[in-house]
Amino acid sequence: MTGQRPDDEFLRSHISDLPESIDPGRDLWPQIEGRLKPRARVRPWRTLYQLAAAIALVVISSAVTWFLARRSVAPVVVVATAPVDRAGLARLARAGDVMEEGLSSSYLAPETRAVLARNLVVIDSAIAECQRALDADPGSPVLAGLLRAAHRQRVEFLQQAARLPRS
Amino acid sequence: MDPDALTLEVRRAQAGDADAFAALYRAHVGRVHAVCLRLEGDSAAAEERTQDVFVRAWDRLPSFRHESAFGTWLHRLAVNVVLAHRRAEWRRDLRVKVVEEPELYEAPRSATDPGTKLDLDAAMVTLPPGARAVFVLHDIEGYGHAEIAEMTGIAVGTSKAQLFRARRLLRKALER
Repeated sequence: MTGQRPDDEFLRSHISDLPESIDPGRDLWPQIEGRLKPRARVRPWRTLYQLAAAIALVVISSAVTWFLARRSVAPVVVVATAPVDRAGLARLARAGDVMEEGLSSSYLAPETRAVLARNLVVIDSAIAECQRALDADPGSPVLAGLLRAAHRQRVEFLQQAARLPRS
Repeated sequence: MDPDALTLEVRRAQAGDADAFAALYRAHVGRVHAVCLRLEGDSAAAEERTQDVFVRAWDRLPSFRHESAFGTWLHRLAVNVVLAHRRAEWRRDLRVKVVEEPELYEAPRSATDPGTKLDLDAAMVTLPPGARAVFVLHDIEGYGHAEIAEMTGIAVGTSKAQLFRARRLLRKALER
């Protein structure tokens, strides 16, 4: 806006005396509320926190499962299992990376970015832990399943984040 | 409402929370109504436009990017809503009457009893609609003549002429 105020003091003083706010003579909200089109209510924060909690649960239960499986004293039963799908794991990891790159943090509010970053740290450490375990035991379908689940959680978390309102 | 609380309410309203939008209405209705009242010059019409502004704001909130303050965004929306409603009338008023009936602008309509001292809001009501619109947009809202010309569909020169007349009429009304 590039307008200039009038150069005569008389009008200028009247303009500066104008109230910035003038309330209507009645409450208009009931009429306005009746005209609002219903919108699907999304609670992005709750969704994000719920997902983060679910991720934490999966990570903890996966770690416990892996720990118990490693320390199991039960007789070892050798069964034929499908080979570890390393190409599938790589595709999931790449999908997460692409989503993370696409989710430009500059468009998100600082508090959203902070939640996102904290939870990605948790997920990434779970992925790293599973990957280290799988490297030590490359044929383990249990570890491959845990790693796949962790990658999927990462992708789902990033998908949720991508649906949050941008700032 | 402090800025952080306001941002939170805006985000909640963007997510479809009507209670949060009601809080935004309470915080901003005075400013929105003020601009509607000054542009419309009539309290019933101003209340109608104020409702229109908030209904439009609700519809457009999901696309609000927080690139400006919410109040600024809403204020601009209010101006646009009134302009959209009155554009045809103002354009006709500004183009036809200025050129063909300039004397209409020399005698402001009487809004109050003779002898009553007017404040500027009351004096503006006495202006012809087009002249009032240019005065409000330029001298109160701070728009330039080029912007006003674009918004109202009149020539820049017409906007300047209307402003000159509006100021002169207002000075007369206020000095009485």
